[in-house]
Amino acid sequence: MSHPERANPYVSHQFETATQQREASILGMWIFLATEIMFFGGLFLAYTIYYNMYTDAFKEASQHLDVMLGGINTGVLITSSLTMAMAVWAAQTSRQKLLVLFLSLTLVLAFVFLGVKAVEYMHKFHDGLVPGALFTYDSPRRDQVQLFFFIYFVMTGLHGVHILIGIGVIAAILVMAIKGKFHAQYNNPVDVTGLYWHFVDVIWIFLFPLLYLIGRYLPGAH
Amino acid sequence: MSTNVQPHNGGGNPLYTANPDVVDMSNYLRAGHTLRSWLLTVDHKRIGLLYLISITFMFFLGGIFAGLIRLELMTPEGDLVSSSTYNKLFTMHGIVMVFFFLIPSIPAVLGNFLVPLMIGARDMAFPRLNLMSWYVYIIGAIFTMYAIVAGGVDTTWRFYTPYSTSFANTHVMMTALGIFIMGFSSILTGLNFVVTIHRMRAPGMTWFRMPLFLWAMYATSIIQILGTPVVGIAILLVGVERILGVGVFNPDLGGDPILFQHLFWFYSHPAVYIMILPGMGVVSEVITCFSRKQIFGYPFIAVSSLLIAFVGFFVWGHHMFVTGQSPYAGLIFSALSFLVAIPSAIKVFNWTATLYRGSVTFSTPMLYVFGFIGLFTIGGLTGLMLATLGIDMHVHDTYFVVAHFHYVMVGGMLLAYMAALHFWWPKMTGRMYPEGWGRLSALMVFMGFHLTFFPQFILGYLGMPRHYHTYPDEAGYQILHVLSTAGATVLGAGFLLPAIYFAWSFFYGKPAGDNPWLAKGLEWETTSPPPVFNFEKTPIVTEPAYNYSVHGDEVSEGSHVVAP
Amino acid sequence: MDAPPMQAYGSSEGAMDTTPNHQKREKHDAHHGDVHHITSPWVYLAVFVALVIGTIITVWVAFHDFGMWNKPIALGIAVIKSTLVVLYFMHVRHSGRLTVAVIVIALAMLSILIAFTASDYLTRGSKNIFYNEDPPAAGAAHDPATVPVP
Repeated sequence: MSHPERANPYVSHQFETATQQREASILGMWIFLATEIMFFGGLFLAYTIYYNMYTDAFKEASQHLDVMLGGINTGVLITSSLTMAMAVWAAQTSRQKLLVLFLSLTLVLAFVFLGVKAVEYMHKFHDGLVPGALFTYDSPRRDQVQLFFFIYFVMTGLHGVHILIGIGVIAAILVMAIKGKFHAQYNNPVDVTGLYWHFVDVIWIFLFPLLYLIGRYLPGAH
Repeated sequence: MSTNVQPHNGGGNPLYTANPDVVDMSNYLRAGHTLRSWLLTVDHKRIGLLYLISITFMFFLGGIFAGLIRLELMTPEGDLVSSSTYNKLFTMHGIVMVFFFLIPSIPAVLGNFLVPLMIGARDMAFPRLNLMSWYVYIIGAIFTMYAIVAGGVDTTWRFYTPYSTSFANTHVMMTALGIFIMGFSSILTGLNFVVTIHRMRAPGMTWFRMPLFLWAMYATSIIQILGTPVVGIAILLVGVERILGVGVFNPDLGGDPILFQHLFWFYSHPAVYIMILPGMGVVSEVITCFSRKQIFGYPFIAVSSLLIAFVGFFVWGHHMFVTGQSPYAGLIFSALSFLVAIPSAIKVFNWTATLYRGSVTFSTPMLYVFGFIGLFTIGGLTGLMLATLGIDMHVHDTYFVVAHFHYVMVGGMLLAYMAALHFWWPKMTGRMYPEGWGRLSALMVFMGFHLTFFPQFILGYLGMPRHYHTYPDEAGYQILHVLSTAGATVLGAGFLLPAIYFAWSFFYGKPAGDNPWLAKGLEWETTSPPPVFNFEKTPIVTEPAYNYSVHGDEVSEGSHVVAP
Repeated sequence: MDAPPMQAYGSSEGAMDTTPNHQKREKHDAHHGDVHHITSPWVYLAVFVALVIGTIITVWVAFHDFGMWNKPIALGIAVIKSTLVVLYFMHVRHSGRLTVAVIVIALAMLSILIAFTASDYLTRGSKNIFYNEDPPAAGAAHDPATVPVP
């Protein structure tokens, strides 16, 4: 058999129809996200176990995170999710200029998120709250507080890596969008990237209260 | 269906064509002749062969480590290797065999080759992702190989904390990185299979018409997708802890080493089913073909695969009975572990029932399958003993455990893998392996296996602990160890033999024809080796799987075919 | 949409039994329009507003003492927010049952991971019902029961 004949140039050789192709890519991304749920799930488990072991220390440690910056980043990420959703809509309705605009906005917001994150990390670095040799926190609960910051850095770090990967993918999609590759007939890559990006947002929706907002009501908290 | 025995390829080198510029789309082996055409291929069949070459290499590497372990244990004294070298040997044997051979074995080689063929698709849903998984596997393997060459690692393949995080001064980071990367290969392969099975089935290929191998692959993929990331994060945490020197798993610094074991076994117990489920799928395929009979209890075998995958996620704590895990959790995990026996036994009963009044042919794949059923049953039943809290307290960390999981992993999985290679070899290469040598190898593997591992049950029961390279002279262990080592030699020869005759038959074997076994299934309805896009035109499925009773050209004159 | 020519399947035409799975889905899709469902931008905007409000409530709650309820409230809001994202931004509301199944199975496995591990931690150090004595001291060197358990 030679290369299979097909009427639709947007369908890869292994698929019969465009619908089959779209459903396969969407299912593929969802299964990947299931993997991601379990990936972050291991960390959420570690958090849960240690939070319950060392509740007071975790509440104490959480006070050293910046609610303001964390809140701003939450807003930034939610907004980027909106722009990403709008980009998907623009692709589905063949609005070429809007697609490029919304993808660019998403990209900018992703960089803003990383920038704010970098500022936060710098502060922790200054305050000696980075676990390991540089950890200078002095308290009877030193080890437990270090455990909190370990989990904080691994969770937000891994989330940051996902943002970075997202930036790469969105940039690639943006280039393709500028070349006019996406329209009502073909927009799987935008759709699937959108799914990934929203998932990164969902993870942050949980990270923000779990890391930044515990024990804030306690007297002496700030 | 054609049973054309004319060589499609002419004689000689199956990769050879007179004019290399002509791309022969009717034979995937000849569709490109350059190294580039192999390394950049997106054809699932070629990727399967790439995996075959890589994991065969890893298998023999792991086999060399095993051989050294057995040699050392021949005598009570530590006269061949030092204790630290011995620690590295069994660690690297475990890591190479588990992560780089057993987990990718049937899924990555035969799954890749067969899944699209069996469902009547042109390729996987994501061919490029498929190629990427192979590269990811290779990158992971390179990191691990580097660790091995640079001096090895001695944490056992389980990386138990706090030893691996705070004390081991071997190449833990490199190995961990290798396994972490290899995990993504496993995840991506599983993802590809699930999407392919859901979205790429040919017209008429309903779920309950699918070959049971596909059900097994589907169940395996679910474990790969949901389990692998958890071990990934566990290994990641070990790595970060080693770099930063903090104590997420170090009790001195407030961490809990048992948490690592929870994370690790949440994957690594279901990983046992990643290894065994595809083997069960192979057995279902082979046994029905060589009994010339429809498989007994198709829906039960199909669903029991999913059940094993599901229940497999509830039982990981039985690896931790003698750690600091609470006895109550141990009780729950023990009780749940018994449940796994139910779907496993359903399969064994159905296989034996399929044999009943079938017209059984004792060809090489079938011999391997018989080996599988016997050895897997012994492995499974001793697994029940180990799932019992009281017995486990007694024999934990002894050779009893070692023997148990080798009965499942080697006796089960490896024999099924060999059965599968023999069964589909004619389809993969268009050539027949030498049947006589094949039967000899099956016999040698079966005998050698028993000789190697049965004495280990007794050793373990008598109290020989695992992970030790010496043992007391007067304990009476030596005779059993010598038996075991002798068996390992036979076993090794039994595995070397197929490597030689497969390589030989690839070039010089006699052309096999499209369907040498007169088997049912879409993969047998295309040519051997298959064309690049698998089928001349998309096949249409109108009958259930294994419909041997209505098959015209049966060889089974004495068969008493039971109506479906 | 690029409907495939039925002829591609040759004799499959008309035979209900052999309708290709993707064709079945295509027929199914036809129920809600010829193209994949397109969510209106106004829906996205509404979800966005809800997310912002949810964030503000989360922060406000965190600074007030609700006793043992602070954490459940925070997590409850997070669950609602993420459900909104999943249903509307990620189009699960208009996806098939398979997508829902993938999510449910993943979350179920995550619950198993957390629940069974917690079953270990929650019962550590409790009185042993099998012997009339304290929990065995064996393995105490590694026994995290030596670290405080809530």
